[in-house]
Amino acid sequence: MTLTPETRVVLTEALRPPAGFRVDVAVGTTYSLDLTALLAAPLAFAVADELSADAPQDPIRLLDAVRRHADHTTVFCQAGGIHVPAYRRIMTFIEDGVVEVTAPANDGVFHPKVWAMRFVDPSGTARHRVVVLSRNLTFDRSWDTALVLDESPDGTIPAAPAAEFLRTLPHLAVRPLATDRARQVEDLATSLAGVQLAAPDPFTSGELLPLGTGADTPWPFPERAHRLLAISPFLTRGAVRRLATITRERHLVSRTDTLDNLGAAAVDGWTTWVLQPLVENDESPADDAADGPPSSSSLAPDVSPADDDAPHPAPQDAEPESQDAVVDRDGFLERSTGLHAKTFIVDEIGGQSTTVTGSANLTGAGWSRNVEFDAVLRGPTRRCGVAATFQGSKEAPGLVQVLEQHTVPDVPPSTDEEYAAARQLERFHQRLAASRPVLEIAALEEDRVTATLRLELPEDVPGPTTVRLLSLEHARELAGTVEWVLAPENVTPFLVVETSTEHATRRCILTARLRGDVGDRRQNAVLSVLTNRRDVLRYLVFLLGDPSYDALVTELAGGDGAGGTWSTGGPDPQIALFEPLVRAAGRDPEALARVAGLVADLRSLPDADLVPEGFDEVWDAVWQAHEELA
Amino acid sequence: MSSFGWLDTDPAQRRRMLEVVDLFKDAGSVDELGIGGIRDALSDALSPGTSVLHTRLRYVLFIPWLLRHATSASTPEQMAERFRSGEYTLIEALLKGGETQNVIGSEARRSLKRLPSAAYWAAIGTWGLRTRPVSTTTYFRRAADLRHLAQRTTLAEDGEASVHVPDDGLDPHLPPPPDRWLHSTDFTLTPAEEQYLSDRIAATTRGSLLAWLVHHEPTGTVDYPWHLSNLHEAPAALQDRVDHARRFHTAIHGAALLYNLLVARKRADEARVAQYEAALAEWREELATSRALEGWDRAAWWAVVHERNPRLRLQTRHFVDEWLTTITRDPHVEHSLAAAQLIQSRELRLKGSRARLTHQSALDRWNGGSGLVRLDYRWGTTQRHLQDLYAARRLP
Repeated sequence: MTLTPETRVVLTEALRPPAGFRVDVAVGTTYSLDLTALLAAPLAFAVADELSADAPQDPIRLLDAVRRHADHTTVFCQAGGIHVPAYRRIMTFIEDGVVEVTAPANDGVFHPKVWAMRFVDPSGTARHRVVVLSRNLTFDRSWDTALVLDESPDGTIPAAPAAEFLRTLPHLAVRPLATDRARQVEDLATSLAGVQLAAPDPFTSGELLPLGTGADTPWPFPERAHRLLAISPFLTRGAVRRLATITRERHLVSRTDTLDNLGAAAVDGWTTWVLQPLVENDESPADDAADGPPSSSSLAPDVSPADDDAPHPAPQDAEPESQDAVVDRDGFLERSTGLHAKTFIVDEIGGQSTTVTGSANLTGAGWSRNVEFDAVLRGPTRRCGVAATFQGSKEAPGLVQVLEQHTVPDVPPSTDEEYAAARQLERFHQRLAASRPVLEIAALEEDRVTATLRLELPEDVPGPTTVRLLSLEHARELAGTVEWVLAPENVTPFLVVETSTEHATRRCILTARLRGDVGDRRQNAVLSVLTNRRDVLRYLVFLLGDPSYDALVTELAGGDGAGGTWSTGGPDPQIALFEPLVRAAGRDPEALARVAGLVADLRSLPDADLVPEGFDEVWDAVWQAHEELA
Repeated sequence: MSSFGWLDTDPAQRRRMLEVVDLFKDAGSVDELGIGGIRDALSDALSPGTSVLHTRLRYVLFIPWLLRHATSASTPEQMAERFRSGEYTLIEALLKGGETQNVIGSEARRSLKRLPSAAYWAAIGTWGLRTRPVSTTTYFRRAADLRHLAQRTTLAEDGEASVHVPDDGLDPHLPPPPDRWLHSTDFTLTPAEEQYLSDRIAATTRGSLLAWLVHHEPTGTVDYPWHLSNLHEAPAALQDRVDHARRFHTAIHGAALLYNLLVARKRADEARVAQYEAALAEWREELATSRALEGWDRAAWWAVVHERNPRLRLQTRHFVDEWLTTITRDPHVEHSLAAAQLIQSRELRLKGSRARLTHQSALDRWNGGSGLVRLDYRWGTTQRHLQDLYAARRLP
């Protein structure tokens, strides 16, 4: 597979376990993070994910997927790089899985976009996968690449560098990782180290290329080559010049504003290309719900639970960001549309070609200071070289079809105040994130607590800064100590900070460490989603996780997927659950343990209204049988 | 299995991106003024499930048959492999069966990137041939899961067959494939297949023009749905939708002509200026005789668009509304400064520094005419599919 425009990889499929397997450990990295996108990842992990027709907004399905996968999913992201989402209680489950990190090099950023995953089947067989992306864990609609590398005994790509990379991640964290998370990462690194990964056809070999974590700074390009195609949305003059030396025949695909800022002299000798403007923005109608995936559209940002009935208020409703804007709506130095891939294709002397793909832009920082993750793929020029990608064939035309040449102006525009201001705020927020904020919770009376935020305020605050809990509206001026009084269910470690200067405003999420009277927030969050017996019943079916009961789940949802009321002719809950429970008792103790946990939670409630009628008897009988079998 | 390519969030986005890429095969169909969101909304309202990537209708049966064919392999990976090679075998089988036109991949053969399954996957779902919104990957995984489950059940229950047989995600009433179809086949539907597809399409797209036409065959073929011989017999709501599509088809063409005229003027290309001025005069004639603007309930029209595409940008709607207001006041747009400014600012907002009317470097790349293909709302594809159904009914 080469990067002709019709070669597509679907993210939900890239994260999904192979048949018969489940996710055992998943570790992801990203520069910026959308917490809502992180919620969607477990939906891709979940085994029963086919059932999205009834479930675009199904909170019970989401609860099951998130709860089941939260404890073995960890995402490392640049400190100060978390976007501000709409608050949902269910985020309680992912808060421990978000780890803010900083790059070891001074002035570098943490920029890799990679997933390392281990899957296991019931017999205990493990399989690994490494996914190398150019997109952050966000809902961006940009032109990005994905490289999915699956374990294979005769694979030609050693996974060891990814294992090494995983081991360094906990050391980059702004505060020590929880012991079990640290152990998980180490455990995944250990098993991954001995694995071989298969190169995707038509490539024949390759290697993984972590950058910025070791002592050396690799540069995987040969000294001399026939042809070169460089795709990078961000460029610096030095890096472009360095790569230019390898050949005279070279193409550069980037963004107009990036190229124009560089100036004609810097790209002398390159043929410069940009994406056709009309493939950059996608304004087409969303597909019918029946066709929709479980993940993205239903969880898109700005759809808070209260808005579920509103007609898809996706960000596209807003005025589009100008193609030339430096920052997005949160003041991040990012673009959510247009070209975002970072891939380099080199036709070497001797008939072989090398493709380098991943997170590293053709910039000085990308290849020296930042933490990045790329992969190198090799194969015959005829099948995976510059021409195969650029020109393609008659029916599968190449990349050039969606590109147009761009003539770079002679005089580069002056340096950009907006960029400098955004960068200053970004650094400030990174420092704040690293200032070890602690949120101390103290019980006041039954339904109120105080939350006291303490952090080391950096000295050079660039402008007025406010802070609030993500779950609350009222922002306070940032100080070394800030206090709120609130209901216990609104306690969250996610803080929103917002800073304004004359030229820019930036907001992001920081995570605080929670201390004090925190209580069992996870249990409370579960029970806040399950509001009636029908919900509980459906949740029980999910917990049993047996693929043969998909139809049952659909029936319980009300058949048409509306998640509406019980149909009068619907299944009797006792009968509906008895068979799956008995089955689970014989063969799936884990499923039964999940049910047992929920039953205990439900029984601990003051009013037992949520337990489906007749369930207690069924459950006690099944549990007893299970104990006897075991 | 490892893979490398452009990233899509989900299968729906993949199909949209393939359709966008497809537009670039013909410069004339490029959407220069950003009205694709409206075009697609109306297309979806008239012919749900169709796609510009479609050629012939029988592919919606070929794909499910290939899926079931592939599940005889043992692992999901092998099923996917068997499915993929099945798609290539199908190309050969169709050529062998005497088809020369409309065979997807007849030239690319095994290097084909855009497989029929990607083009038709949404249609198979919209028309209810698959009952679950699965991808091929999940379909195969599920097939393997179900097989495991069946084996386990058989063992656990002492040879007694399970009473609860879960469906495989495809419509149980799907007609079976003919014998040796992967050896040689063609696009002709059998009467049984025709009946099945007519029922499914009409039932799942009820209220659409497509559904109505399935059971109301017009005489002859036409270029646009508003020329249909039997349209006056259709329900009023349907006639209204077609009428909205007709009006927009005519009204917006003037904007495309004016755009090209303005570019030609900026380029000082006298011949082309004359060409587009003449074309605009013709368009004015069409506007008058077709009465495209008279008594048009624009609120009702926007409601149809919004219903199918709630994501349409306000900016797009403003542009179109302003264009309609301008030409209602005076259709001599080639002399109107306001009309020229409207087009210029629209292009600038859409394309930034690559707007031809604003930036010389972009102007340099104009090929003399773009975005001039008339909107047909996928009528070509829709009519082709309907003809496949009608033809099968006339088989002896």
